[in-house]
This record gives sequence, structure tokens and C-alpha cells, in this order.
Amino acid sequence: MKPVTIRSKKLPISLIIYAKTLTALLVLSALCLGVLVYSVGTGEVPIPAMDVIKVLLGQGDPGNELIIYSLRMPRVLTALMVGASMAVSGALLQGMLRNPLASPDIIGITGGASVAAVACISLFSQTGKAWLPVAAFGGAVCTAFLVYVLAWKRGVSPLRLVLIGMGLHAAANGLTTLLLILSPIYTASQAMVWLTGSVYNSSWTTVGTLTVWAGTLIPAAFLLARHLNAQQLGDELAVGIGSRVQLHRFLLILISVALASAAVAAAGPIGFVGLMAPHIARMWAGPSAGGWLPVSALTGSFLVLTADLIARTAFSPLDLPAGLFTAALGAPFLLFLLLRSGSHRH
Amino acid sequence: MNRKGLHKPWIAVFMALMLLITAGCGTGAAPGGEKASDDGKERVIHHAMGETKVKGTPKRVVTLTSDATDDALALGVKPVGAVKSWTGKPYYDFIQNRMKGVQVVGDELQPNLEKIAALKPDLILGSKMRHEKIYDKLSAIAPTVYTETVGNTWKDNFKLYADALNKKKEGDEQLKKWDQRIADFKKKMGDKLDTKVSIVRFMPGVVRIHHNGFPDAVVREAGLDRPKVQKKKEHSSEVTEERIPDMDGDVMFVLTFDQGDGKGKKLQKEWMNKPLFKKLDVVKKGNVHQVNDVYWNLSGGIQGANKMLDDLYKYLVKNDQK
Amino acid sequence: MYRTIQPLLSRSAGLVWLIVLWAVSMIASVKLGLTHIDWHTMKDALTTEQPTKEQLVIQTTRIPRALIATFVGASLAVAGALMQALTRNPLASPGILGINAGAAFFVVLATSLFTVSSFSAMTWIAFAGAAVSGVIVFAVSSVGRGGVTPLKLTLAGAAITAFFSTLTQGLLVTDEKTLDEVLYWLAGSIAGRSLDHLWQILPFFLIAWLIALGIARHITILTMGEHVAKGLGQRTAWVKMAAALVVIFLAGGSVAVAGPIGLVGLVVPHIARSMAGNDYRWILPYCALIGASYLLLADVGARYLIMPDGPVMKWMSGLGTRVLTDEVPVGVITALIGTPFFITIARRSITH
Repeated sequence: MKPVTIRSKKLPISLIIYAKTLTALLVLSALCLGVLVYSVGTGEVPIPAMDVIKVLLGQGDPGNELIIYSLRMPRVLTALMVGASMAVSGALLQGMLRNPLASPDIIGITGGASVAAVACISLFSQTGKAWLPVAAFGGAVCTAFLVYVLAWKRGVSPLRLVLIGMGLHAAANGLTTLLLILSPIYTASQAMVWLTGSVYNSSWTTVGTLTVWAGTLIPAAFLLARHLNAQQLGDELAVGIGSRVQLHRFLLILISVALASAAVAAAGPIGFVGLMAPHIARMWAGPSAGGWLPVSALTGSFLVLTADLIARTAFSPLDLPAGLFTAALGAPFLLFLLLRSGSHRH
Repeated sequence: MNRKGLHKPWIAVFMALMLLITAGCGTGAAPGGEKASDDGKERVIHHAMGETKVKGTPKRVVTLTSDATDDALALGVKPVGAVKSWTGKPYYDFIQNRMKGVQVVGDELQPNLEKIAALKPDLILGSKMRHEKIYDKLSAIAPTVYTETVGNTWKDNFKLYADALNKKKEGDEQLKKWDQRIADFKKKMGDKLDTKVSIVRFMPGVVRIHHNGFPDAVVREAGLDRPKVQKKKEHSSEVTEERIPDMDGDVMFVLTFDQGDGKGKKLQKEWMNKPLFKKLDVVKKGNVHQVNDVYWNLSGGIQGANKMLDDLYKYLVKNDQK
Repeated sequence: MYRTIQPLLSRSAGLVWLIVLWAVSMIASVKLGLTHIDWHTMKDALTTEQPTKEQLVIQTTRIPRALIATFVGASLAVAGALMQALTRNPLASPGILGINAGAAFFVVLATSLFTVSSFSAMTWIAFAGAAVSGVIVFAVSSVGRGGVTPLKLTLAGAAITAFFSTLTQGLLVTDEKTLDEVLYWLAGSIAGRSLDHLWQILPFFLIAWLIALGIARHITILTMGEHVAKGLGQRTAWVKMAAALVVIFLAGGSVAVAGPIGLVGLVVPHIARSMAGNDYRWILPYCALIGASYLLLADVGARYLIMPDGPVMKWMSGLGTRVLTDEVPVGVITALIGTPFFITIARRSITH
């Protein structure tokens, strides 16, 4: 592999990008764009690719414009950003905890966010909806904190962390059921859709909020990528090469939790993207986090975009939650990871 | 009653068309034109999500709730698209005839936005309780008017829909008729108005005692009383067997939600055969009546309310004369 | 060698004590709840010819519930104990290892797609689901040089649980009819279950319990390690097969009656072991009694948590139109009580 080094003279940033990573980035961007355009053109009213491009350039006919701008774009863009957020969140956790199984869903962060969000929807239906993202963030932070504290026993063992996260996830499920039962009439099935993770409800407001969160946090994660590299080496080595381990770990965890909760607030707990995307990305990108994180983000986007496209069109007139498809793909993936780790280690 | 229901819409549609033609070609000739609003044809509708401007008499209406479909038909407006009814294929039996050719736009909990857009509607009727999150998208497609909730607010909803559909006059007439019927019912009931009406609903896997939904609003308006334990401000209670004694009353109306797979009916049979149920005074006196869930609960509009009132006449006024 | 020093007497005393606990739980389960029942009514309930409403409540709902809670609680606990012994994993239980989720998915699939409604068919479907997920979990975690390690087993269980619950969710999202019908059952509930169901499942439970007691001595030996067991001349494969069959009957049967009630099978064996020592001939009866009492009491809790006019519902009443519900599914209670246990056990068992 040939690394290409990009070094800015003014900013304290240097990027080492492997040629393989660069290819992966380009291919994935093209794939995402392709799915995006195809997705925007597909649905109840098919719109040919040329017309889609015309609309995007502001030259299309008003009917198509309505369908594309009001209905499909918010949905597609939400899927894009949710995928990227989940993926980066998962990659940060995996990198930091040096644990291939770490992801916001498995260690209970999305579970906590869901409890808070469902509480918001069901207990405070009148005023609650506006506070949904904040509540989800609060729930996620609390859960992450709990997991960390409970997993602490003369240091945090990654395995213990995963197990405790799973335990809290079970409790979160119990609470969610309780809240669903207490929820106002008729919302049980809507809550079920939300809990599976769906971008059906996304609007330009969703896109706006998500852009603010993802738009600042994902670049922040990229900037901190070199510290992630240090973290991956293990605590002693990281300290040895001068990384302020605890501070950076705290920052990275905060970013990861915030990204996961922003995604949950926008689209519900779309499952397993945070687990799968970083693994797939590792096959394409080089070992350096500088390349791995962006590739993960794009992989996550691609996964959710495709899942939503299938969910929306394959079973028409049913409009299924995208989370159904990421999870159907993700659960066997998790088994595969277990199989692989089983045959590699010990 | 049925015959009346079949003919009236066509008369209303005809009248609406006449009205439109005589109102001047100005509106009709300039669809989408900026000047259409100049002759005062644009109306501002105040509703659950704020204000919406509706031009003239909408002709391509999409209804996203059961009660909106019920009310629109009652006002003589056949929607171009409507969500699937809770039961029936795809609409309730009693409106099926009048809904021929109406496009199904998904179900009430998750309408298919693209199907709605493809119909190019000029008015969308929905409910904040069901569709709050998609209001922005719907508004981009066509002027959208939301009721706050469905069920016990059916009269306010009807007024709002009539307003939005530019059928205020027809709406007021029907409400006046409704009031007259209620007054007549109260008169005929006389001192029997203190009859305590119990309302129980069986759904697959769930049994409810009703407190404050659609049927409860109608029963309340009819001046009838309820058992004390059923007077609550919540919609209903989902109960375990131990609550069967709370179902007692002077008369019980039983609603069964069954989507054709027999599961609701099966549960109803199971419960009504329980020793505890058979011990109820209302059961011993033989005052339990099975009524149509579509009229009593699902349809939720003015037609449902009128059919419900028919049942109240049938079971209560007749009994009275015995 | 497996005989412990603890005298027979104190163990028997413990057993008597647990029987008393179970009896008290039974009485609590019959007496407490929405309908007020006094001692006098309760005493006459079984003998009366002309039952009052309260006595009918006792006869038709309270007693069936108490019996179902007893049998399901005992079965889940015994299944959990066998699984923990078999896998030498303190975190093993039908819930954690995905057995419940598999059985639940199969049942929902049958209800939703094939509209199966006969309970006896459902029972076999639940058994099949339990067996399938059990086999997958075990197969996945036995790959690799380390063999079946507790951690791999737990993670594989989590993965399988996630997989099956996603599929269940998928079915329910596409089929609202079934959602309303199974929402309660899916969280694990013994309210409104009829005694007929219990009678149909009872033979399986009894056979499974008898087998469990029959192999208890071999299980004790097996917990000392495969090599020890083989050295003592045990045909370990047979013992394991028998134990697995018992687990499938007990867990699958419990799911068929009451839905996937979580963490009972995890918590109870730990308590039982701390009381009875290492001999499974004692642990299993202890488990059965503790499990039964635990589920009985959790079920009483489920009746009170959101009782209409109770404190929680009074607080909620200001929050808009809603449907009042009498009870929460007992599975919610066991999940909330069980989680601290799970975390404690996880902290203790992974020390590095």
C-alpha cells in the first residue's frame, strides 16, 4: 500500500491516506450518489434519472419537483446522515474499546436513547415531540455513563462493558414495553415502527437538525482520528507516544454517544449499522483511522440508503421501516463476527 | 335511512357543481392562477396545525381518517383518495358503493405520501393525533386541514371538514337535523333517560370498557347515563377478567372489532361465556345488545353517529314501550 | 466425591422453608389484586355452591393465575439451572441464550402468517423454535479452538435474540392485527391465560421435571468438568442430550403459555445454589420452589404497578387522552428486577 501524505502547513493536521482508502472513498461516494439518485427517482411515481437531474438543477416540472423535494429528498438525506452518524459512532466505539462487538446498539446506548424518546412520545405527547432529540441524547448519555460505571472494576474491561451493555439493553426493553402500554391510544403500532427504525417521518426539519449534529460531530471525529489511532494501540503505548488518553477518550465517547443519539432521535434505533459499517470499512480502508472513519461513514450511508430504498419499494404499497432490513442483515453479520473471532482467537 | 343515504350525496354533488358554474368562470378557468383569490374565494381555515388557505370548493379531496371519509361522503363529496378502512375491503360495507373508484392511499397510521401526491389533490383532510409528523409534507402537496383528534370530538371535526370542503351550509343543516333527532330521542325516552348504558368492546387480544370515545360522546349527547365506574375522562380501560363486574349497567352494548379472521369474535364468545360475565345483572335481565362496531366506533363521523342513534332508538325506545 | 459435607437435615429444613415461602406466595397471589378479597371470602371460595362475584374472581382468575405462575416460574428456573450447569456459564438462561426469543418468533410467525390458533399446535411450534435457536447458539459458539466458552455462548445468545426479535418486530410492523393481539404476550404475561393451556402443557412439564431429577446426579458430576465425568464412566453425550431436551420442553412450554418471560431462569439458580450447595439433586427442587415463588410475587407486583386509581395512574391522568390498562406484563417486572442481578453476575464472572 502506498500512503499519500497530505500535510497542511498552517493547521496542525496531517493526513496519511492510503491509495486503497482513496479508491474506496471514491467508489463509495459514487455508489451513494448512485443510490441517492436512483432512490429519488423511484417510488409510486417513477421519475427517469434525467428528469431527476433536471429537478436537482432547478429545471424540472413542478409535479416532479414536489415529489422529489418535499417527499423523497428529506427521507433520502435523513437516511444518508443517519447511516453516517451510526457508522462513525460505532467505529469510534470499536476503535476505542478495541472490541469488534462494540456498537451503540449492542452496548445499550440506542436502547437508552429509545426509552427516553418513547417516554417523550408517550408521556408528554403534547409538548414532548419538540424535545425528542434532546431527550434521546439525555437517555443515551445516562446509559453510556451507567454502562461505563458498572463495567468499571479496576479499569474497564471491554468484555465486561459489552455484557453490561447487553444487560442494560434488556432493562431498557422492559421500560420501553412499559411505556408503550402507558402510551396514548393508537400509538402502539406507530411506536413499533419507530422502534424498528424508520425514516418515513423525516421532514426538512429533521434534515436541518441532523445536519447541525452530524455536520459538526462527524468532522470533529475525523479531526480526532489520529488520537483514535493512538487509543487503538492500548493505554500504555498511547500515553507513551504522548496522547492525553483520558481526555481524548472522553471526547471520543461523547462524540460517539451524541452521534448515536442524534441518529436515534431522527429515525429511531436503526439497528446494526454501527456494528456492520466499521467492519466492512476495515476491509476496504487501510488500518489508519484517518481513512477508516470516512470510509465507515460512507458505508453506513450506503447501507441505510439501500435499506430504505428496499423497504420503501420492494413491498409496495407497504412502506416498511428501514431498520428491519439493516437488522435482518446485521444479526447474521453478528453471528459471522462471532464465528470468525471464535476461529481466530484462543 | 339507507336509501336516503344513497341519494343525498349525488344531489349534493350536483348542487355543488351548479354552484360552481354559476359562481362564475373566474375561479374555474384559472386553476393555479394567482388571480383566483381576488374574488374572495380563498377561505382561511383555522385548525389543529394553524391556518390553511383553501381555494373555492375543493374537488379532489384526499381523506386520511375514517371520520373524514364518513363526513365527506355525508356532505356529498366523494374523495379521490382515502385511507383503507379499519375493516372491509377496502372500505366499510356501508360506504363501499359510494367509494367505487376511490384510490386507497395506504392506511390511516401510515398513509402513502407518494400515492397522495400522484392524485394531485386540492385538499387533504387528516388528524393531528395521527399525522402530526407528516403535516409539512402533506402541506407541500396540497392545502391540508387537521382535526385535533378523532373520536369524541366528532361534531367539531364535522364542522371543520364542512368548512374546509366549502359545505358550511350543508353541514349546518345536517347538524340541525342531528339536534332535532337528539331532542326527539330525549323526549321519547322521557324519564327513562337515566338508563345506565355500559359500552364494552372486544378486539383481538384486548377487551375494553369505554369511557370517553366516540360512542360515549353520542350516548352522552343523547342524555343517557353511564355506570359510575365508566364515567372517566380517559378514552377507555383495557381490562383483565377481574374487571367484568365494572361492565354492569341497565343495558350493555357490545362492540366487536373483527377483521374477518374471527379472532375478535372468538374472544367475545370466550368472555361472554365466563361465569363472572353471566353473573352480571344486565346479562340476567337480557339487556345485552350486539351492535355494529363500524357504526358505533370505527367510522366515527356523522353517518356513524346517526346510525348509532338508530340503534339507541331501536333498543331503548322500543323497550320503553314494552 | 460430589457428596457435600452439608448435613441432610439443614437442606431438608431449607426445602421446608421454601415450601412455606411458596405457599405464602400462592396465598398472596390469590388474595391481592384489583378486586378486594377478605380472608373469609377466600376461605369459602373453594367450597361454596353459590359463589359471590369475589369468589368467582378467585375461582376463575386468581387460582388459574397462581397455578400458571407456579408451573412457569418453576420450569424456567429449572431450565436455567440446567443450562448454567451444562454450559458452565453463570449467565446462561433461556432468555439470555435466545431460546425464548426463538420460541416467541416461531409462535408469532405461526399466528401471523399461517393463522394457527390451536394451542396444542402452538406448543409444538414453540418447542421447535426453542430447539432451533438452541442449536444455532450452541453451534455458533462451539466453532473455534476455544470450544464453547461462557462469553462466546452469551454473545451468540445475544446475537440470536437480536436476530429473532428483529424478525418478530418485522412481522408485527407489517401486521398490525397481530401486534395488538400479541403485544402483551410478547412481553411475557400470565394474565388472562386459561387453565386449559396449562393442562395441555402440564404433561410436558412433568415429564421434563422427572427427567431433570433423574439426571440430577449426573449433572452434578458434569459440572466438575467433562474429563472428570468421563473418568467416572459417565456417558456425557447422553446426559447432555437429555438435559437439552428438558430445557426445550420447559422453556418452549413456558413461552407457549406465558410468552418470553425474561431473566427468571438467570436469577433463580444463583439463589438456589447459594442455599443448596453444589448438588443438583437439591438445587433443582430449590430452583423449582424459588422460581415459582419469584414469579408469583412478580405477578402480584405486575397487578399493582399501574393499577387504575393507583399513584402512577393518578400522576399520568393529567397527560392527555389514553387507554387505561389494569396491569403490566409480568415480564417487564422480571426484566427490571433481573437486570441488577445480571450485571452483578457479569461483573463477578469476568474479572480480567
